[in-house]
Amino acid sequence: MTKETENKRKWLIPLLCVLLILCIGITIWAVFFRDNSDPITPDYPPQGTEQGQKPIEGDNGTQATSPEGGGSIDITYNVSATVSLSKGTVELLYANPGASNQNVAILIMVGDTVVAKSDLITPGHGVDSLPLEEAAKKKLQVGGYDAELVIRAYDPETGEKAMVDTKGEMTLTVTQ
Amino acid sequence: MMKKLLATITALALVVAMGTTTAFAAGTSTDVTTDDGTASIKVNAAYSSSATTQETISVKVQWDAMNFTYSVGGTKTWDASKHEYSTSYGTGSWSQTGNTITVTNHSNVDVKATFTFAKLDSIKDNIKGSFSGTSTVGKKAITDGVVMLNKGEEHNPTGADKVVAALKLTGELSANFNDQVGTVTVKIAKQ
Repeated sequence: MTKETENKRKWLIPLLCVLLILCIGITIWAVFFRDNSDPITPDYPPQGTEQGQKPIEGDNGTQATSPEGGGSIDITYNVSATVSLSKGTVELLYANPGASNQNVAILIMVGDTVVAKSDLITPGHGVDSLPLEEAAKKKLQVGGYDAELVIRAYDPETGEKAMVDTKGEMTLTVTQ
Repeated sequence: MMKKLLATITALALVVAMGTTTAFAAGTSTDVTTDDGTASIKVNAAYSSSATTQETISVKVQWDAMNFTYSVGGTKTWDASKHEYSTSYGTGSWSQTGNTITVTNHSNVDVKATFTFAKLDSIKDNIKGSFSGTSTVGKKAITDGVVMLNKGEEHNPTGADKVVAALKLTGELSANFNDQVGTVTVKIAKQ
């Protein structure tokens, strides 16, 4: 054994010791200290204002007053809506008139599938088109569907979701 | 002779022609007037709309604070040997601050309003909710959470049919609980 090889061995043992300590350290951290919990997705995530909302023409409704903790929403919608698979849109008429004192977010559901959803529609505004959800695009076929319109109200100041939800029935006509 | 025959035929033709004109005039005798060689004929028109009426749901939903309190009476007895209280509870009861949901129908169709209370999944107590109330115009009572509301009358928005549904909770609530227990859902469907 040459002197050079002997020198190499001298360095190898401390190096292996360092690597061993490092591995033990990582193992201890992974077992005891690493945060394994997945974030819990909120049921009602914070939302922004709906980008597609438009002012309701001629709407001069006076905003309703409600007792503390209460709320008031005026709901106006057409019972039929159209889905265009090629455009990837849902054409509908939904309005949150100025008489409402809550922001609302709407969902259109067919069974458990979300077909379309809006961000917050502020009082005095409405929507006539929403993007079709990708999951629904794969499931829906040309034809008619019974659908459910889910309306959730949110306090405009605190963002807190109201304890009262509203649902409505509507029909969806799916076109190519 | 020939002239007489021709004159007679011409006279007959004139009479027939005048008679025909008279018949037409008689048919519209009140519509045609003559004055100095001019005639005025009334032109009648009737508006017929083929516009389709879209069914529009328009309802107002108002709710109160929905704050409920479950109160339990009873007696606390001091156990001197153990230095602790033994408590015997009485029957609990619910009270509320604002427990109504008002639905007003401004739609051009009759609607069915269905009220449901659902306790949160995290609540283990057996709490149930029921609703009562009567519609103002149709005088229909809420039955099993369902009530019919008449469609809106033209030019009478203030007389729209509405119902004030009062929520009543039953069941027992765990001691020291102070949080949301459930949600109310109002479902609207055209009739």
